[in-house]
Amino acid sequence: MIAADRVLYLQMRIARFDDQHAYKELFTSFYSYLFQFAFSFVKSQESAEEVVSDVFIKIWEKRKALEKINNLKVYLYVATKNNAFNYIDKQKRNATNSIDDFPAEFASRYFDPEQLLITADMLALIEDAINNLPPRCRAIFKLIKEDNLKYKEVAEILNISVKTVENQLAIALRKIGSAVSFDIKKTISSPVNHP
Amino acid sequence: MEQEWIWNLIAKKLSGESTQEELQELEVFLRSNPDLHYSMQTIIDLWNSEYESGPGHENTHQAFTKHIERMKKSGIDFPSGTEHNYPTYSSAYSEISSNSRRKSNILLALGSVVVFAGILFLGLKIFGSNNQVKQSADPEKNTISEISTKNGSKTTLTLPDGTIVKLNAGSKISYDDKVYGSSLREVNLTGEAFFDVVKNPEKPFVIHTGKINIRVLGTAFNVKSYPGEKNTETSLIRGSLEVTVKDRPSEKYILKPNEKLIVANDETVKISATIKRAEKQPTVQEPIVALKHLTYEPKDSTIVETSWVENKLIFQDQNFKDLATQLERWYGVKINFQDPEQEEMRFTGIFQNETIQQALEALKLSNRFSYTISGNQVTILK
Repeated sequence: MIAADRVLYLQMRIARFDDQHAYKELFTSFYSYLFQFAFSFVKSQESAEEVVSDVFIKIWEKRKALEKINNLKVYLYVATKNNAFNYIDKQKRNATNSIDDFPAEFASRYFDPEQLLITADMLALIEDAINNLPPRCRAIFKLIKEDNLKYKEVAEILNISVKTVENQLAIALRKIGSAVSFDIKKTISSPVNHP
Repeated sequence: MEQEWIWNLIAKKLSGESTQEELQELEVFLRSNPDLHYSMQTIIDLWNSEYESGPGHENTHQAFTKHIERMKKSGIDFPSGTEHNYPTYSSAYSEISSNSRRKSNILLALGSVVVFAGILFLGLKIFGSNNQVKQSADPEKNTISEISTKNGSKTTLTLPDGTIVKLNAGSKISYDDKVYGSSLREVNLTGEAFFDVVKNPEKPFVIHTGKINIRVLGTAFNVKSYPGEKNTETSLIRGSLEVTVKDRPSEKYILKPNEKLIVANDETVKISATIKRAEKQPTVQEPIVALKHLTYEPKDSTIVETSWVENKLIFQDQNFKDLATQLERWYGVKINFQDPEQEEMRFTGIFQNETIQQALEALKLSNRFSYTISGNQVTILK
C-alpha cells in the first residue's frame, strides 16, 4: 500500500496544480483495493468498477477542496462504501445494508504453498478456515492484512469500534491458527515462565 | 480469556499495532513455549505472503483508461497535457519524511510558497516508512534530489528517464534534476543499489561512488559501496558496463554479464593492479582490483549479490563481524560483541522473513553464543 505521505503529496499536487500524473498515481495505487472492497458489497464486477470510478470522478471534480480531507485513504474507502450502498439501494436488491452481507473475496490461488513451506493439505485447511470466517471477521482480516489499514482506519471505514476490530482480527487469527494446530489452549495451561 | 489475550498480541504484532511492551509480552510467552515457534512462523509467513491474484498493473491501467473515458463522456474536463504546466520556481527547501506526518502537514501549509521545482520527482515512488526524499531547490543554483534509506528499510524509485533504482538499507542516492538527462544521466551513490537502466546510447548513465565511476548505456547491475567497508563491488546481471577507479582514471574495466568487479576502498595494501579471472586464487591479500564471477546460492541458484532485492539476506562462510554489519542494516539494530573472538565465528545461511530474534536463534544453532536484545541494541554475550 502506498505510503501515507505520498498520498498527502498527491493530494496536494492534484488540488493545487490539477496534476494528472498525481491523479493517475492516486487512482492506480488504490484501484485494486477499492475495487475489491466495492465488489464485496455489490457483487458484480461491472458495478464495482463503476462505484470506484464514481468515487474518483468526484475526487477530480472537487479537487480544489481536496486538501481539506484529513485522511484521504479512509475517505476513499468510506466513499466507496457509501457509493456501493447507494448503488444497492438503487438496484433495490437489498434493503439491509449490513456489513454482514459482504464477503471479502479471497481467490483460491491466494497462498503459494511452496513459498510458505507447508503441505497442500495444510493449505487447504488454512483456506477453509479463512473461507469459513464470518463475513465481517473476514473483511476485517482482509482490510488489515491486504489493504494494510490501521485498526483505527478500519473502525472508521466500517463504522465500528477499534475494540471490535481488535477482537475480530484476534478471532480470525485464532481460527486460522487452529488450522495450523497452533493450539494455545493446550500450552496455556502451563504457567508462563519468565526467563 | 487468556486465549483472546495472546491472539490479540499476535494480531497486533502482525498488523504493526503493538506497543513495545506488547511485543515483549509476546516474546516472553513464545520463549516459554518454544513448541509454538513452527506454527507461529507459519502464521507470520501466511500474513506476509503477497496477494497473488489481485488485479495487477495492467488491469489497473486499463481501469484508469476506462475511467478517463467515462469521465470525458459525462463531460468532465480532464484536459490532456496539463501535467507540465506547473510553476517551476522555488526558493524554499523542502523535505518529505515518511515517518513524520506533522512535518508533511507543515510542508503543505507552507502553501504556494513551496513549489516543488524538481517536478521530475513525479516519477518517484516511496515505499516503506523510513525513507527520506529531500529536494533542495533554488532557481539560480542546482536542483538536487536526494533519496536516502535508514537501516532496516529499503526503497524503490524511478528516475526521470524511467530507470529503476532499488536502494538497499542505509544508502543514499542523489542527482541533479536540472542536469540529469541533458547529456549524461548522472547519479551519486553511497551504500548499495540495484539499477535497471533504461537504454539510451545518446545519454550514458553514470554512477559516482566514493571510489569508482561506472558508465553504462542500458543494463541491470548492482553496486555496493558502503562507507567503512573494505571493498566497492559492482555486479553485472545483463548488458555491459565500464568502471573507472577514481584515482587511476587511465584504467578502464569492462564488465560482462555474470561478472563482478571488486575494488578495495583502502589502499594500504599496495599491489599492482591486476585483474584476476580465476576465482579459486588463493589470495593472501585482497588485490586492489579483482574481477570475479557472481556467486550463486546452491539451492535455488539465486544470485547472492542481488538477493537483497528479493528480500533475501544470503551469507556464505562469512565472519560474524561482517554479518553483524549486514544484520544491522537489515534490521535497523546495533550489534555489539562482548568478546572480540566471537567476531571471527563463521556462518552460512539465508534469512528472508525472520525477525531479528529468529535470525539470532537460527545463528545460535550453528555456533554457540548467547545474546540480549534491548530496544534496538543487540549484545552478543560471551
